[in-house]
Amino acid sequence: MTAARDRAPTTGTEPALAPTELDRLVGWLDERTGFARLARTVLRKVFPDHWSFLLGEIALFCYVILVLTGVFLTFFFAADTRPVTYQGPYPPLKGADVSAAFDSVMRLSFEVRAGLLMRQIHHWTAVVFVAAIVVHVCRIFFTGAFRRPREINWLVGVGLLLLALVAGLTGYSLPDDLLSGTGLRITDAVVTSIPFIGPWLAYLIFGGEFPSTELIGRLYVFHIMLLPALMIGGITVHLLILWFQKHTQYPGGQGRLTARETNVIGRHFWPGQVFRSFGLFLLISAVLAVLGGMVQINPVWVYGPFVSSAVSSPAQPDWYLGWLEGLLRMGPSLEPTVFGVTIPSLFGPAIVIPTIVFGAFTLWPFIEARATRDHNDHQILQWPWQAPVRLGIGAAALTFFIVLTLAGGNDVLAVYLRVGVEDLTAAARILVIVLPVAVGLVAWRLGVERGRQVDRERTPLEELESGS
Amino acid sequence: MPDRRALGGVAAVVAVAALGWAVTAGPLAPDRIPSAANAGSDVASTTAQVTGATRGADLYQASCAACHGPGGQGTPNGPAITASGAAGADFMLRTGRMPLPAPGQPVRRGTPAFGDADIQALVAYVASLGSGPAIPDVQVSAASDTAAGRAAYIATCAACHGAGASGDAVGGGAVAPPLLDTAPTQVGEAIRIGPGAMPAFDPRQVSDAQLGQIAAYLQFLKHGAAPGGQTVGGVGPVAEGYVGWLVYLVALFGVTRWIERKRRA
Amino acid sequence: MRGRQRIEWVIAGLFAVTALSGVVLLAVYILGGQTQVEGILLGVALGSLGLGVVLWAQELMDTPIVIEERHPATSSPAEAADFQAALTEEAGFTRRRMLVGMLLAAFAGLGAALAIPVLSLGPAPGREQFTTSWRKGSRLVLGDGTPIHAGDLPVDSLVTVFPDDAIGVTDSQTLLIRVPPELLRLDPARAAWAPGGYVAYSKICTHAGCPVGLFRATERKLICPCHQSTFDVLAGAAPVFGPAGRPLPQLPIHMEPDGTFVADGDFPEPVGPSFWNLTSGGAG
Repeated sequence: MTAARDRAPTTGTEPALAPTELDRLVGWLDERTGFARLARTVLRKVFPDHWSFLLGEIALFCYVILVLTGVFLTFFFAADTRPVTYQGPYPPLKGADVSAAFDSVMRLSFEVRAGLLMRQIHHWTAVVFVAAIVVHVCRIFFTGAFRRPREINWLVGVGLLLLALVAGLTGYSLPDDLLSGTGLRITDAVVTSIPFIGPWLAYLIFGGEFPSTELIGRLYVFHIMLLPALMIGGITVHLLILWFQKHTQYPGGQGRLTARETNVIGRHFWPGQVFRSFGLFLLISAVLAVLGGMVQINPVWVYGPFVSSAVSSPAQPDWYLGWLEGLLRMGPSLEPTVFGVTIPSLFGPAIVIPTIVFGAFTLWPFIEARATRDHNDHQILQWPWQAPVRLGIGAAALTFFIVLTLAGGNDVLAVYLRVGVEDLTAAARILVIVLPVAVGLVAWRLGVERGRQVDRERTPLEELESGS
Repeated sequence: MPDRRALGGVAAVVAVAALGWAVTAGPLAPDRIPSAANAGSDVASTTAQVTGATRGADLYQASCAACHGPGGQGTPNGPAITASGAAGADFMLRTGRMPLPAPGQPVRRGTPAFGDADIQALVAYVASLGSGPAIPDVQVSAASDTAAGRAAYIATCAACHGAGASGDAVGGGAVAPPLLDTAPTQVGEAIRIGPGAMPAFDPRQVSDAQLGQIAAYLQFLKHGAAPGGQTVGGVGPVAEGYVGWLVYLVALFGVTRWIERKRRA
Repeated sequence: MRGRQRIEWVIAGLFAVTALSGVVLLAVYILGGQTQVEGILLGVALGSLGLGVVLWAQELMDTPIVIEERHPATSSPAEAADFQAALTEEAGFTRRRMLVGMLLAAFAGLGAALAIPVLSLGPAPGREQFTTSWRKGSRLVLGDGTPIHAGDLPVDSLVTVFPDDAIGVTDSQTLLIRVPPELLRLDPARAAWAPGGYVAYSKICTHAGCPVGLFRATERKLICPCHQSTFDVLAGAAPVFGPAGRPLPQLPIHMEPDGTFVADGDFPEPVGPSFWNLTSGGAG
């Protein structure tokens, strides 16, 4: 059923066709807002249709699910460290002294219908959310999508990734259980390790000496208010920039249409892209719903309430902080005191190295532009092998983080591999340097070779038509 | 027509998932106790019916004396066991840790080498070699106080064995094993004797009543603590991270490729 | 057209599955709910709908590949000039430098004042980092308040203790470990702090603050579960593996005639994770 606007304009002699419901609705809204003028360009906007362009949407939809399930959880969570006696139905905790926060999570998990499902969907989605961002960032990186004019969007994206990490940490620490409380202790120590301002900053953030009574309340404010606000703002900016700059596309084209710097080839936003994206959202939700119902995650009743003199092993943060855990485990025990100032052994692995690595990561578009002396606009992407040096550096960086993350779980690995923990730590210290270099070199070579192969196979006609 | 590469990728990831299951909860999981180990091992009774006074001695000389010495005084191949008592011998034999195939082998849980009657004979003999703790009377019932057991377990055991009793490496080549499949009597014996690198705990630290409570709590953990569904090894966020990535790669990557599959016009 | 009709039936069927599983999910919920069943039903409902929607877009909609022109993002010189003019012509910022300078100074001063609520978030760390609740005369007690007696611990075993007036206080958590006294290799100045082979160390790891709860009895080594810092109990809890940079502080204790233990003072060094003015003794 086409709207009246899409039919051929009437001449004066034809009878006017009766308006449809859609015409009436559009008319009502448009008289008040004039939205149709803007909406028609929105509906027709062209989006390239490669599957790798949906990876960012996976992250976006995970965020939506986090907000939806998160709102449900906020109705039940009490961000209060006041001690209460557990009176709920879980036998091993009956009569135990727990915080009101822990008690509210227990109630949600055992006494609220669908409470445990929502909690587990929320936590599994957070785990997958960061994975989705990482894969999306890899796609952006290896295809050179961050190059001019998209440097700003890269910065926004890196900011969103860091916000996601902090949101995850604050979120899983809210139940005030033994495992996450141990993680907060480490966080406090990491902040404290900064020379001169460390202890002052830690007292400021945590509200005093660990464990302060303010801590859970503050994490809650960050987790449900400040971080979501920043993330929604960041996502909006991220999408608006993408919208106005138009999406990038791969070299080549489709059929008789050749991709150039001056065009976008794809399908219209409506209905093709919208329906597919909506379907993607539903399918992701489905997978996360099944995961949330079928696979247990973060069973806080097993860890029990946080007791500052108790600990459980293995003790790890959620996977997306595993790289930091690996740095801490393999860090050297050097703790020099220079002119009366002690540099804690934690400072280098926990603060210095991440700052350097993430600093380089954040500034990458500018570093690469300067190194390649390429300050042109790029609307066409590169296949990863078309930029072999970047491919090598990115592969090395990924390997670095993978080795660190695996090293963060060295005690769990030691059991399954039947080797000593100390041997794994020693091996990790070597591998974390050697393996990224090796993988980076191999990736670089592979890129160069593929580039040569493609050049050999190119026909003169293709060269003429490539136009990139 | 499904994208063949996508299918191949899915197949590869499913294979990895199967391997992951096998390693965490399946036949390749460490310290998986063969079911025979628990059959008949829950004998809390200390009144062993020894079939012959010399049976224990004979078994000892044949299987144990080479490393532990004819009188249990120890040799260069094995420590003295005069202070092990009935509890120590019973624990080592029923969990299949002893006898070792050869000196210097790692001490690991396994299938017991002896049947129930032989174990009782050996236990009586080893107890007679010196003075060590008797086999504790560990009572577990539906009325056991799992709350007290949980509190004692977290305070005393969780640091090495994990809050979920799934065990962990403790360094120096030692591994605190998972406890969910350990019989209550063996739980009590281990607490009293401190096998391997584990410290021993006196009745004034962990009372006899608490032994039963801890064992009851472990049984509860095995059956009643997973309302959220499948546990993935019970080792916490490490396994959860692997599962999250697996699900992401298989389901979501597969979905995006399917959504944008190229079909004939 | 027959292919299209078949697809239509498939999509309709998928939507019907969604509707059905939605209803069943509601019924399960009303009947009390069960997490695994709820998850599967919700997944089926959403998944069927998603499959149907995508199939609809792929098979029933005619969404051809089209081409759109890109225009350079940069504004034309006229537009850019007009922006600059609009920004400055009525405001005249560039002409009143002194006022602009004073305005910035005003914001800076106000900003400094507005930082105060942030500073209210936390007290300044004073001597808290350098002291615990242990005093001369504090009796070593268990978590339930009962004093620990010599003989309660077997050799090569350990227990967590607190000062009798500060049970459960985080920074005062202490490990009392009994080792064969002849194996101790303590600093001579601290040898007297380990009566009869009972030695007390802070339980808080000096690396990142986790309780050092693991003990390999045969080697008399304490291990922290967080990053595997390993401390040698016989040698003053000196770190022998892992990232910890300094030993666990040792608590001076003596044994009373009744077999209980009493502290002779606080820990000589700050407990817990190291910080920059660790060695200043709290005078800085």
